Formats: sequence, C-alpha cells, structure tokens
Amino acid sequence: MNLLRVENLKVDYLTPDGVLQAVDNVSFEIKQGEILGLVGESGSGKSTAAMAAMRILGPPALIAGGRVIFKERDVLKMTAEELRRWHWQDVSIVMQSALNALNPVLVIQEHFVDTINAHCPEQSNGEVLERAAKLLKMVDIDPRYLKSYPHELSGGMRQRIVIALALALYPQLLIMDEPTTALDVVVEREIIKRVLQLQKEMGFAILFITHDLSLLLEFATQLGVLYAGRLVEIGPVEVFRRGGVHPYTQGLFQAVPQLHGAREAFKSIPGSPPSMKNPPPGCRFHPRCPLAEERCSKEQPELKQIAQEHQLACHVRSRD
Amino acid sequence: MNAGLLFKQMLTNRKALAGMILFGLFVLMALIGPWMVQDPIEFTSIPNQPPSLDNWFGTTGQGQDVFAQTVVGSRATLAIGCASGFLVVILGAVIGGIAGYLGGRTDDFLSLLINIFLVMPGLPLMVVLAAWLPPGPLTILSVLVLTGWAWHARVLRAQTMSLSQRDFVLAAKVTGESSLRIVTAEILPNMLSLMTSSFIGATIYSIGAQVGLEFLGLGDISNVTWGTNLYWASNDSALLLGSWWTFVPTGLCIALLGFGLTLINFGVDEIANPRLATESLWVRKLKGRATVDGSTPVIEGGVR
Amino acid sequence: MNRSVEYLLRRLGFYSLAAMVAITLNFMIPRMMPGDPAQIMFARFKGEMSPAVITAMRETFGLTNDPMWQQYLTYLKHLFSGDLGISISNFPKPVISIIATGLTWSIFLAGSALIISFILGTSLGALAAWRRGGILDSIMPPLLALLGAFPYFWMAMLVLFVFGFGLGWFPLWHAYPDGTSPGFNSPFILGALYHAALPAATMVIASLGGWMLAMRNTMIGILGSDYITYARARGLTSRRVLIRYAARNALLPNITGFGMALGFVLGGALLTEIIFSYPGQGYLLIQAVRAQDYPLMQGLFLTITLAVLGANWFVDIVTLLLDPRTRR
Ligand SMILES: Nc1ncnc2c1ncn2[C@@H]1O[C@H](COP(=O)(O)OP(=O)(O)OP(=O)(O)O)[C@@H](O)[C@H]1O
Ligand SMILES: [Mg+2]
Repeated sequence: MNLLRVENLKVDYLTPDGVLQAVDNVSFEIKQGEILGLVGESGSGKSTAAMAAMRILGPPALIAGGRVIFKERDVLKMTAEELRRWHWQDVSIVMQSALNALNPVLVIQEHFVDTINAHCPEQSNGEVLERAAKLLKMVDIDPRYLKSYPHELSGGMRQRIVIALALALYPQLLIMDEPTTALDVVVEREIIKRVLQLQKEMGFAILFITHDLSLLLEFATQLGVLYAGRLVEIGPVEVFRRGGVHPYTQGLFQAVPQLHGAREAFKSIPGSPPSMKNPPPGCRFHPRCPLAEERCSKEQPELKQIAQEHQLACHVRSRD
Repeated sequence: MNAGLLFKQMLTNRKALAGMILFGLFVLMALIGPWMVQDPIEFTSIPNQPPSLDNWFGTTGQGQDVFAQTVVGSRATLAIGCASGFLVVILGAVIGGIAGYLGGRTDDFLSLLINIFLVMPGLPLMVVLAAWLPPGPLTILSVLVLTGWAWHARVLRAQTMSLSQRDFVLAAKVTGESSLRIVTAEILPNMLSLMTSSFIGATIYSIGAQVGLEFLGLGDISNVTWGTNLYWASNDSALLLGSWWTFVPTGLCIALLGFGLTLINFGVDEIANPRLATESLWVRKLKGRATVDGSTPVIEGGVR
Repeated sequence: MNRSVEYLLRRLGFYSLAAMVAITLNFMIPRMMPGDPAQIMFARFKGEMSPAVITAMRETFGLTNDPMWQQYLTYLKHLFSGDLGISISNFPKPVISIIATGLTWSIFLAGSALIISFILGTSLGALAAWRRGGILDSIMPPLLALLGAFPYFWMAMLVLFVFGFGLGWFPLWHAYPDGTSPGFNSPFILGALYHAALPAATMVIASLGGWMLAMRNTMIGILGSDYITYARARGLTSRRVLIRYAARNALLPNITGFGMALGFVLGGALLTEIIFSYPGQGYLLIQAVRAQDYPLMQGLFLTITLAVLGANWFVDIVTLLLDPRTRR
C-alpha cells in the first residue's frame, strides 16, 4: 500500500533576480516498509523536494503546484495544526545539516522532552525521560549524554542522537537527507547498519537522499535519479544494479565511486549542471548528453513507463 | 563590491534613496542656507515672539531670529558630525584592521584597548575632557573621536579577521603578496559596505553627542550651532515661558537628519545582507499568503 | 562550574583593569591640559577657602610638588580611602557624599527605564520578526527609528513641555513630592514613582527602537537557522518554537549589546535628568559644569564608570546563566 505519494510537485524559490524552479514536476511513491533512494548532483533539488513534501521549507520557498498524499490525506491542504500533528508522529526527518539541527543552548534531554511533549502531553516526565534513554540506547549512545549540550558531543554522536529523535514517536516514514556525508566512512557504515537494523525491527519506510549511487544499490528497494530539478529515471533497484537506462544514470556509473561524497564522481560527465535560474530548453541534460538529438533541445521529455514500475524521461532511450 | 556598485545599489533601494534625499537636503541647507537668511546673532526683534511673517520660527529669548539660527546652526553641526564620523571610522579601521589582520600579541593588546574604551561611559568622559580643554569646535571634534572609535574598531576587527581567513586572501598570502597590497586590494574593498554603515552610524552618534555636549554648555556658546541653540533655549527658560518655538525647530532638524541617515543604513543593511532583502521580497510577493507558522505556502501556479 | 567561576574572575580582572585605566585617566587629564591644573581647579575657591583647605585639596588630587609617580600614589591613597575631594559648588560638602545620593536616584531612574525599554523592545522585535510583513514589522521599525533620532534631552523637553507645563499631568521637577520623607512609606514611594514616570517614559521612547531593531534582525537570522526548521519539523507548537528556540537564542547577542550600550544610554539618561531637574548624576553633572566644579565632575566620571563596569559584570553573569557555550 502507498504510504506517501508525490505527484507533479513544483517548488519555487523567490530570489531577487527572479523565480528559481528548484523542483519541477517530480512524482514518486513510497510503500510501507520500503526504502526509496533519491540521487542527484549537488543543487539538483533533492533536499528541496523532500522538505517541500513535508512542508517545512521556509522563506523564500513556495509550492507552486502538485499533490502530496500521505495515506489518503492531502498534505498540501492540511491546516497548521494538522501539519504539526502529522509531523513526527507519521513522518520524521534527519536533515542534511543534522549537525546544526540541535538548539545549542538546550541539553539533549530537553530536545526529547519538547518533542515527546508536543505530541503526547499526557506522558509524565519520568516516562518521557525513560523513553529518551531507551531511544539513545537504540543508537548506541550512553543515556548519560542526555545531560550534555550539543557542542559537547562529537559529530557522529550528534548524528545518532538526531536519528534517535527522529524515531521518538515511531513514525511510518523516515526521511534521511544525506545523513552521513559529514562523517568519516567508518562511522557512516556503522550508522547506516544500525538504521537498517532498526528499520527491520520497527518496519518504517525510508526516503534516503544521497550523492552516492553505489551506497544506495546496497540497500534501497526503489531508486530515483534527479537532474536539475526533474526526475530522469525511477524504478526498482535491480534496474540500476544493471546500470540504469538514462544516459545521465549511466554517466553516474562510469565514475569510480569515491570514498567520501560523490562530487568527484560526476566529473566523468562532461560539462556542469545547468543554472537553475534559466535551465536549457528541452531536456535539461541535453547539453551534456552523448546521445542528444535535435528533438532533445526542443521538447521536454516526460516520465514514461517503460517496464513494470520503471519510468524514464528520455526521448532517445524510450524509443529504442 | 566596489564603491560605484554599492552606490548604484543604494540608488535603487527605496529606503537608502529616501535617506539620501533627506540627507542631501540638509547638506544643501548647510552649504548655501547661511547666505540666504538674516544674521542669526543680531538682536533684531522683540524677544520671545511666536512664529510670525517677520520671524517664521519666532524669536529667541534674546530677540534673535530662530529661523536664521536653525539654518545657520546646521553648518557647524553637520561639518563636525561628518568630520568626526569620518575620523572615527578611519581610526577604527586602522586599529581594528591591524588587530584583526596581524592577530597574536598585537591583537591581544589592541583588543584589550578597544574593550576598555568600549566599557567607558562616553558622555561623562567627554564632559571631563571637554571641561578641561579650551571650548571650541576642535575640542568637540577630538573628544568625539576619542570616545567614538572603539565601537567601530571592534566591528571592523571582526570583519578583517573573517576576511583574512577567506580563500582569496590566503591564496594571496601564499603567492607572497605584500601585506599592504593584500589589505588594500583584497580586504578593504570587501569592507566597503560595513565601513559605509559604520561611517553613517558614527555620524549619527557624533551629531547626537555633539549636540548633547553643547547643550551642557561645553561648546563655544557664542557660535551658532544646533547644540548651542538648545543651550540658549534652556538657558532662557523656554519651557517656563512657553516659547516652544525656540527648541522645536532645531530638534526636528536633528531628528530628520538622524532619521535620514538611519534610513540610508537600513538600505545598506539590506544590500549587504541579502537574506533581509530576499525575505522582504518573499513577503511582498506572497501578499498576505505568506505563512507565519513556518510551513511552506502552497500557491497553485506560483507567483511571477 | 569551575570554568564558570574562572570565566567570571577573568571578566572581573578585565573590569578592574578598565577601572584602573579610568582612575589613571582621571589623574592624567588635568595634568595633560594646558595651564596649571591646580590654578584652574581652584580658581573659584579663592577667597572662599582658607589656605589650609586648599592645601588639603591639593593633597587629595596629588597636586603637590612631588615627582609624578609620588603624586599618583598620593592620589591613589586618597581615592581608595574614599576621598574624592570637596565640591566647589556645594562647599564644603565632600564630593563622595553628594554623589552617593545622586547615584541612587540615577540607578533607580535610568535602571528602570533601561530594563523596561530592553524588555519591551526585544519582545516587540521578536514578534516583528516572527510575523514578517505584519503591522509590527512594517510600521514600527521606521516609526521607532524616527523617534530614536530625537536627542534624548530634546524629547524630554518636549514631553515635559506638553505633559508637565502644558497639561499639568505630571510634576515638573525633583524625584519625590515636597513634604514626604524618604523611607519605606507609601506617600514617598508612590510619589517617587509618579515623579519618575515622565522622565523614564521619554528614555523608553527614545531607546525602544534600537532594541527592537537589533532583536528583529538577530531573530530573522536565527529563524533561518537549521535548528528552527528542525524544531518546527518535530511538530513543536509555534509558541514553543518562538520562545524556547528563537527568542531565547536571539536574546543572547542582544544581552551582550545591552552591556555595551549601558554607558551610552546612561549618557542620554544624564541629559534627561537635567531637563527634569531630577537629582541624579546628570543634575549634578550640569551643576558641576556650570560652576566649573572640577572635583565633582571627576568624581562623577569615576563613580559612573565604576557603576557601568559593575553592571557589565552583572550582564556577564546573566549571559553565563543563559548561554551554556560561554561555560566551555
Ligand atoms: N533558500 C534558497 N534560496 C534560493 N535558492 C535556493 C535556496 N535553497 C536552495 N536553493 C536552490 O535550489 C536548488 C536545489 O537546492 P537543494 O538544496 O534542494 O539541492 P540538493 O539536491 O539538496 O543539493 P545538495 O546535494 O547540495 O544538498 C539549488 O539550485 C539551490 O541553489
Ligand atoms: Mg540537499
């Protein structure tokens, strides 16, 4: 059953030199207990799409169109109070900047207390603290750190704490936005392993955002590739294990995966990502695409079903 | 950002433009006004007359023309205010810049000096200094500079420090450019908007403090300035006699000038801090559909 | 906790150093000026005082024929035993006793005005930033900036003229009604509040805009930070995000600003006192200036500086309590 369905989502940023369409017609679905991976270069709109779906993007953003359905409920029509209750009980997020996500003047414990109290005001203080301690143990952190301030903890510890916070109300969907890019490889692996264990135990779905395609191949069930604010390919992970179909996806594979951050990897594709302020006409990838034809610079390709659950936006490849 | 670009952006910013027009009017008044009015010191009419056709702003307790005094007073006040604002920023930039750029022991010492001057209460120190020095514009100017520089040194030091850590400055250091060149070519241009707002802030402060000192009688009370105008108004018991016209025009002028300068600074702030400008734009474009609860607004079709 | 104590001691050390600088300035200024300081200082004494008193005064300020360092020591010795000399305008009262009552009134008036203005201004600023584009955000800042552009003492003149002389709603001078005696009795306390209302109000009006704008701008910065987005994402109520996450954090830099603005606002407060003939430090200051009462002037400078330094230390303690990061 579908947990989250995003349809034709459009997100704009109002900048002094015009409207920037950071996310354009993006659609995807996440089923219960599934892991959907989103990959794309820096600036391709991954965070924007995820945060807009949760409606937590502040100024200067606005949602210019589309639908976001969570279990039959229309997120874009929710009132402020409905949104507040939906957040964290049903969907939670580990933000990209998780290291700065904690209030520097509150101890860790108060973050748990505030979060749990906001949704379960009937719980006593003792119960809340007990739960906070249990959550910290889940991510292998000693509960005595509940009394610490964020600046007293290492990056890895803060990251685990933010993950523990995200699970505080047993949500059905967890969004993880590059949860490990700021950490070293060893810590990254440990944390991902732990999250996957917890996912098996608790059964939540994950929307996992990263630069690192090879990482996603290890555990994602579905995968979407974002280029310049548009999805170019989305489908079951097996398709991608075989190398994908879209020329951009394939370009991603030609690069040797780097240990840390995939920025380097994209260098194997000639050229650089387009300016989002005035993207190229037609297919946004055509200036860098080895297969580009005349049509590609004129007509924007739409996502089309090319196999069971596999969608592609490419004039050339969907013809073959 | 170079000076030309900053100025061009200031011309397109509504607040800065309004402020510059207001300031320009006062500069004009200070430059040519004194030749267009009668002698401000001459005892021409009956004392303490309310505004009339002969004396637009009435007469002082001594029978001088208030309008002439207000116009003539702008010259000295503005001149000393701007001069002091300028000197304060130069002194602040030199001391703050040296401290921030060199770091280490020099910085420790200069920071200590800056901090000590910062915690000294300005007005009482000014009063003691001005009381011992011979009265006159030079005394006022030096007292203002001596008590005003520390704040700007602090701000400019912090800016220099963060700039000298930036890539382009580090790169220049590695390639062996001389310190003087790095400071003048790489650091100073990047401090332009900060120094502009410092200058404006310092000028506002100098005008206020100068008027205060002169009001206390620590200026040369035979000069005509906005400060001495208020000194004489109070000395001639304007409040008791009900002659409000002897202090209202001067006060309004001070406030309008200060307000104009503040507006310029609001504008410079918006230019230097794009976040402020971007958010104002967002709020304006969404016209009431902007959310205050932090949730992303949904506007089908977007806005243009 | 040890680190906190260490931090406060370090700050105390700094303020002591600043105090020594002020004391030294007080000693140096008369000596650096053109002319014989003793001549200038006691010019107005002539005829009123016996030579013996003049000699004693010279002692107090170290204006003897000894070498400079010895003069300095003499001056310090008198200072630390609480001897600030004798006032010329209130001869033969010692400066210290004149200043003591004045300081109490000043701290009462300027202190309450400052605190009211700070609390009101930062609250307004926080709300303006929270409701970007609302009435508070669009109309108040320019309006308050305009009000803040008037010199404090001019605002005081106008307010006194309208509400005191014109409408007669408020007393025209002094700190408490004639006929009441200072102490813990309600006529005196109510009277003192009544007398302080107008001067305090003018100071609040003149300084409100500064606090509001500073708070608004820090708040806007903080509202864009990740921990605010994250607090909202967690479903915290708006109230809680505003108070515990945004306003509280935005307050910290402004409290530091509060400490630094103390000296500046105090200057404005002194001038306000003069207009209202309020018997605080400002009133004494103008008396001293008019009568060229140098000992009183210098005594005022010293005590005001010490008061400001003390207040700054207090602000440090408050910051320490509110911001764990300083406890590092
Ligand atoms: N506050 C903002 N104002 C204006 N433009 C923005 C803002 N935030 C993001 N953008 C733009 O929106 C586009 C998408 O940004 P987003 O952060 O979603 O990318 P991302 O895919 O998450 O990149 P990264 O991998 O670096 O996190 C980028 O071009 C970016 O410049
Ligand atoms: Mg991102």
